[in-house]
Amino acid sequence: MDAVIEVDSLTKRFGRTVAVDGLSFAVPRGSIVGFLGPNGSGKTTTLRTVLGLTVPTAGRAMVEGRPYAALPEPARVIGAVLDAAQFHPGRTGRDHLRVFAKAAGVSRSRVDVLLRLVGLDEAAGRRVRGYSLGMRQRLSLATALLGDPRILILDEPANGLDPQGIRWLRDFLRDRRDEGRTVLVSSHVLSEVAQVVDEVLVLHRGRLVAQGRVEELTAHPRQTLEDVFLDLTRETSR
Amino acid sequence: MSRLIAAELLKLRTTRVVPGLLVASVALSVLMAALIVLLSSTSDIGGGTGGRLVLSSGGIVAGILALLLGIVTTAGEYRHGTILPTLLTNPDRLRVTVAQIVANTLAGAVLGLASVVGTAAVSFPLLASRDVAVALSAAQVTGIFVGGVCFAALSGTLGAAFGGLIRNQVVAVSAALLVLFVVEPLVTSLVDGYQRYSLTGLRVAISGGAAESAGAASGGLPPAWLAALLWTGYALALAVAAAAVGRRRDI
Ligand SMILES: Nc1ncnc2c1ncn2[C@@H]1O[C@H](COP(=O)(O)OP(=O)(O)O)[C@@H](O)[C@H]1O
Ligand SMILES: [Mg+2]
Repeated sequence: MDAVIEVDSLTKRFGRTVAVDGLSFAVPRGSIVGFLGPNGSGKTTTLRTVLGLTVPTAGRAMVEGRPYAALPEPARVIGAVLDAAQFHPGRTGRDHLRVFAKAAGVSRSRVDVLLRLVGLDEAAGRRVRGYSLGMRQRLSLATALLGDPRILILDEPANGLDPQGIRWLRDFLRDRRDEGRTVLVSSHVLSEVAQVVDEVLVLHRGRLVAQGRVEELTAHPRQTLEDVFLDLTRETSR
Repeated sequence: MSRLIAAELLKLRTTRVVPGLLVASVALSVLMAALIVLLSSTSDIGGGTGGRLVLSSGGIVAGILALLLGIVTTAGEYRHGTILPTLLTNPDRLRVTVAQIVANTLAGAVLGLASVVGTAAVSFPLLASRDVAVALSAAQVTGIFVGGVCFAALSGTLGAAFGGLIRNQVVAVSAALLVLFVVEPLVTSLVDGYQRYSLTGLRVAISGGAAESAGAASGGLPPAWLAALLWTGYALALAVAAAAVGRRRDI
C-alpha cells in the first residue's frame, strides 16, 4: 500500500488527559478515508499532530514519509481545513488568501480561481468579521487549496455548512479522489461522511477500535455502518 | 525567506491596525511637540534639554506605538488563529518568527519616519513663532531625527519578539507597560547606573532625548549606537527564547 499519511504509536497527553493513546494507522493514496469517533475521542489532536501543530508525547506522524516540518513545500503536498478560527476579523477574504498565496509562492490569479470555486467571489471584498460560519468554512477550504495539494485533511468540515453545502463538499471530495488525490476527513456524525468515504478509521478514547472498507465493516447484511459505529463507540468502562 | 517577509508585510497592510496606529502616532507626536512648545517658558525650550524634549517627541511616541504594534500583531496571530495557516505554509517556526520581526521593524520605521516628519513640521514653525532659536547644532538635530526613526524601528523589533514569546495580547501589552512605567522607574531610582541598561535609558539614548528623561539626574547614558546595539540584543534574546520555546509548544 502506498501510504501518504502514517501515524505510528502516537500518544498525546494533556496533563492527565490521554487524548491519543498509542494510535497507529495509514492512509492510502487516492482514497477518501473517514476519521470517525465521538466528541473528545482524539480526532483533532491526531490531525494537528500530523500537521506539525501539536508535539506528540510519544510516537510520530509522517506525511509522504517525512515529518510535516520536513516537507519542502508543504502547501503543495497537503492542505488542511481545521476546526478552529484562523482569520483576522478585520481582513477581507481576498486579502486573507493573498497573504497565504504569497507565503506559499502561489500566483495571485489562483486566489480568484479559488474564490470562485468556493462561491465567495462576491463576498471576497468584505471583512471576515461579517462572514457566516459556512462562509468561513469555505474560506478555510480555499486557503487549504492554495497550493493545489495532493492530500487534503478536513476536520469536521460539515460544521456550519447547509445541506447544499454538504452535498457540494461530497461531490468535490469525490472529484478529488477521482483525480488520484487523497482525503482524510473527520466527523463525529457518521451520516455526514458515510456516503462518500472508501474507508473508515473509528476512534474511541484515543484508540483505534475499527478500520477497514465500509463494506467489510458491515459484514452482516442487515447491519448499517451506523450500527457498527454506535456499537464500537458505546461508553464502556476501560 | 523574502517570500515569507513579503507575506508578513502584506498581513500588516491588509488590516486597519497599521493605518490606525500611523494616524495616531503622527497626531500624538504633533500634539506633544506643540504642547511642549506652547506651554513651556521660552527659556526652557531655548536650551539644549528643552530642544531635545520637543524634537524627540515624534520618535518616542512612534516607538511606544510600534512596540504595541509588534506585540499586538504577533500575539494576535494566536488570538485570531492566523498562526495556523502561517505555520501550515511555513512550518519552520524560527523563520516565521524572524519574518514577523523584520516586517514589524519596517512598520516601526514607517511609523517613526511619519512621526518625525510631523514633529519637525510643527516644532520649527511654532518655535519660530515664539522667537525661540534651538540651541542645538544641525548635526544634533539630525541625530535626534535619525535616532527617532531607528528607535521606532527597533521598538517594532522588540514588540514582535515579545509578542511571539508571550502569545497573549493582553498579558504581553500589560507586561510591557508595567516594565516601562512601573518597574524601570523604580529600579532606576534604587540601583545606581541602571538607566544605562534599562529600556527607558536606551530609549532616551537612541532617540536623542534629554538625559534627564531617563530618570537619572545627569548623564550616564550609553552613546546612541551602543544603546541601539543593546536594544537589538534584548530583542534577539527574546526572539531566540520565543523560537526555542516554540519548538516544543503546541499551537
Ligand atoms: N489543548 C488541550 N488541552 C487540554 N486538553 C485537550 C487539548 N486538546 C484536546 N484536549 C482533550 O483531549 C481529548 C481529545 O480531544 P480532541 O482531539 O479535540 O477530540 P475530538 O476532535 O475527537 O473531539 C479531549 O478530552 C479534550 O478535552
Ligand atoms: Mg475535534
